[in-house]
Amino acid sequence: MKSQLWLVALFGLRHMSGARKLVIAALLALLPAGLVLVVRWVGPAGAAAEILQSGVPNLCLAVTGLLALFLGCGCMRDLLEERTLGMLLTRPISRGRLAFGLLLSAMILSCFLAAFGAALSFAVSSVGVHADVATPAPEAFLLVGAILLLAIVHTTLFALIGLRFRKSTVLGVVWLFVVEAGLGSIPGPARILSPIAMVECILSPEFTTRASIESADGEYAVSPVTALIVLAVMQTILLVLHQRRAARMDFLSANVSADGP
Amino acid sequence: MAIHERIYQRLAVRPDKPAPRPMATLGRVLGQHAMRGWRTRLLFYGAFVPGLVFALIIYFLTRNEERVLGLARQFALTEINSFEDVDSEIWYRCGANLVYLLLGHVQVWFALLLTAMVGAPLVSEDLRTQAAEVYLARPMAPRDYVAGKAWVIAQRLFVVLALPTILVLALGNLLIPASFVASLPLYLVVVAFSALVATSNALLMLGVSALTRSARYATAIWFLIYFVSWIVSEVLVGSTDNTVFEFCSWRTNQHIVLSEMLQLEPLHEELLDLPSIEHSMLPSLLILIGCAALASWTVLRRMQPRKV
Amino acid sequence: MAGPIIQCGQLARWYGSVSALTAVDLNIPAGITGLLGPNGAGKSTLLRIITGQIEPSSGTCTVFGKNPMTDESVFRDIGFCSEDDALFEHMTAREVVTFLARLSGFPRAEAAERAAASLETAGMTPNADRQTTAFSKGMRQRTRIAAALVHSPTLILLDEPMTGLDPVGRRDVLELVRRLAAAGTSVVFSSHILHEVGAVAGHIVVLHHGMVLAEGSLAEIRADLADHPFTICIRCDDARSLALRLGALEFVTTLKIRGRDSLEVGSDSALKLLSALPPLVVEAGYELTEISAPGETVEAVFQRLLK
Repeated sequence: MKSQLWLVALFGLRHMSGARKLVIAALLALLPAGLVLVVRWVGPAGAAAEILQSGVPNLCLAVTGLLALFLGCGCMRDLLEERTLGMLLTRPISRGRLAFGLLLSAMILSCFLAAFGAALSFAVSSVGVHADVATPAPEAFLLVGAILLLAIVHTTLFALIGLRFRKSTVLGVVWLFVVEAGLGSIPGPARILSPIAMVECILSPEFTTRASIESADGEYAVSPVTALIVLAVMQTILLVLHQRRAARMDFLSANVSADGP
Repeated sequence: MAIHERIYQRLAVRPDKPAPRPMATLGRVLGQHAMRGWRTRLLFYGAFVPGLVFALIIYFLTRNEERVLGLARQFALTEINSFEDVDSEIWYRCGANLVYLLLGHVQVWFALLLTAMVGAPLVSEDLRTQAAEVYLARPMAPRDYVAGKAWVIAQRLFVVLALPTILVLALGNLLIPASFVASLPLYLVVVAFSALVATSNALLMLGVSALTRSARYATAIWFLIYFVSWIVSEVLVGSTDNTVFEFCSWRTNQHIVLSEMLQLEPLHEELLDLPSIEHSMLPSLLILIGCAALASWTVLRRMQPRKV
Repeated sequence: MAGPIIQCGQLARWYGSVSALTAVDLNIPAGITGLLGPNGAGKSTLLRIITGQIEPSSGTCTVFGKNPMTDESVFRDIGFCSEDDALFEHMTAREVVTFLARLSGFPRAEAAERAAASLETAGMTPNADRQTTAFSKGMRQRTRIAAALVHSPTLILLDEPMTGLDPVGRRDVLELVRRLAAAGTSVVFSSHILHEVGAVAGHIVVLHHGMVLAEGSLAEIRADLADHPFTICIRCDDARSLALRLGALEFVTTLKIRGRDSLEVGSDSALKLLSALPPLVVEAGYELTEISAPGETVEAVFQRLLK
């Protein structure tokens, strides 16, 4: 049964990697590294180090959110809209396992792309002649680890939105705007709903984020450990909801009309 | 009756009447179809709510002369004691800032969402269901197809952008008749800018929609273009102090055009705490038109018969 | 034969305000069953409920005594080929079928062997290693049929299996259905092409507007509709004399003599005509060489059911 899960995950990876969307996702993931390159090229001396401290982490977090939205919403809905899901549903594999296998593939891909993009932006700034940054290994590992966490939580969240709503992409963008950008910037307990805000707490004070700026003002009360616990609880809840939804979902009826985003 | 049948019926050439223009037919029929979803209707009519809020604010503001003078004082940046001191330039600045705020900072968000909701499935769904081939098997050139589809998005965007702004402006003029003459050029600016944003957004969305057979991915790519270009522009300008990177952002280019059309420099910067724009309108205009042209070419290319 | 393999009780399914199935009570036995009905009759909805892809709005459905919606183990015994013209892209036919075999629980080597065998059965071996994106409609259909057969199920459900196939392909599928049935596999297939169903199905379910109009063998359905206007052609040694005798019967409405030995008899009651004819022929000592009912095709039965 475990092998069935990986079989579905591998299938999902193959299904996603064959499509044009992977090119778009890869370009998106390479964006932070590209920015660092441009800054090194046209910016003043030391600008790359500065951008690694503040611009790149924030950009990586935003890119991870968008990548998760791009891949998570579609992991199940792509097959629904292609009308090939029936071929998988009529095999001796439970719906929950099938949905989890496909979520796993989206998770692997978004984690890989997001982490690769973040690591590459550090590499781009620290290699070559006149490198702006020496060897920021610990910071790079911290950022990559935090981004992996965010990719996992966000992909699960957007996969759940993709399972539940037909206009999942628009809703995902609304989530990023309202919760991540809006609620995540307002001090208060509601901030724990924003995974990006929690990851920023983990990155603080090594990187300049909303968390580090506000903790200097004494407004940001969430410690990295608390943030980790919040993310773990959030991921557990999202997974449970995802599995419950997948087990009960009437897949084909949910796709009677595939006429919108 | 199925939507294709309705289009065919209207496209059918009757000997007693001249053949209808395919572009107009496509735009009209698909336009009705595009507004069927409750979410799209909610967004479309919801776009008038900010205008209503602005109208209420203006109404209550103008009931107290002192408040009006206080506002004019802020725009004029000089001492104003009575309405006699308020000249037409100050009234123009009041109106221009109102337009900048409502059109450039509120209505454009509705336009962004509406572009995605209405525009994303327009070409991608045709590619998925192979309806594009059915359309083009009719007496309809690919350019008619693109124009008809773009019209579906553009006319709704134009309404969402221009109508609330014009209504609010007109209400302001009605309540303060002295401001009417000075505000006349603003009506032209609102119409011109709304037309520009509606057309460029519509054509770019069609280009994006032609890249994929899934409306969801078309939506995602549209938002990626909008937000990622904005973030990239902000980061690059912040890191390099080179404002040429402002041209990377679709959103900033639209703001540059609006700001230059309204000739707001430097007043809006001080009053509304908005970033200063250091460029002329021409490069931004060229970028917007160029991207729209490139997107149209993408759709036309997708409509060409495939070589085996 | 043991009890029914598929049991549906008061099955109903609505899509919003549209009713796709209404109070369907069905017991499908082993063997070949044809689901017959015009487009929109509810055939695909019924098959999707049977395969657990959609949940009924009310009523129950069991396959081999299990609920396909909640018990995925039933799919070890079920193979399904949908009517959707879709296949996984960026894979070859062999990869698609092998993957689905592995998902059915077979190890890699056995899955590959089974995939090769089922592709051969579906006539896809020459194109097995081509990308599915380059396939014609018929090739995609054959690949889906191969995927439905790959795990050797005891029940195969085929939704419009002949769609997109050329006449040779259609004949091959009908032949395949016969072969599978001969080997002990039950087949349920849907079609709106009547003679295809009539040619192979031992058990027919006629659906219309989401309701079961008739169920049973073609003969049973015909018997249910026995008392209806009916026309037969008789070949005998003296058609003119037989016509005279038949003309005296009150339920005979038309008589057409077609030559010396051929006669066409129309009646407003099939039951009465078929009861009266044998004693009359025996009594007068006619030599009958042929009796046929040209209008009594499966199409005619279907048309009568719809009326």
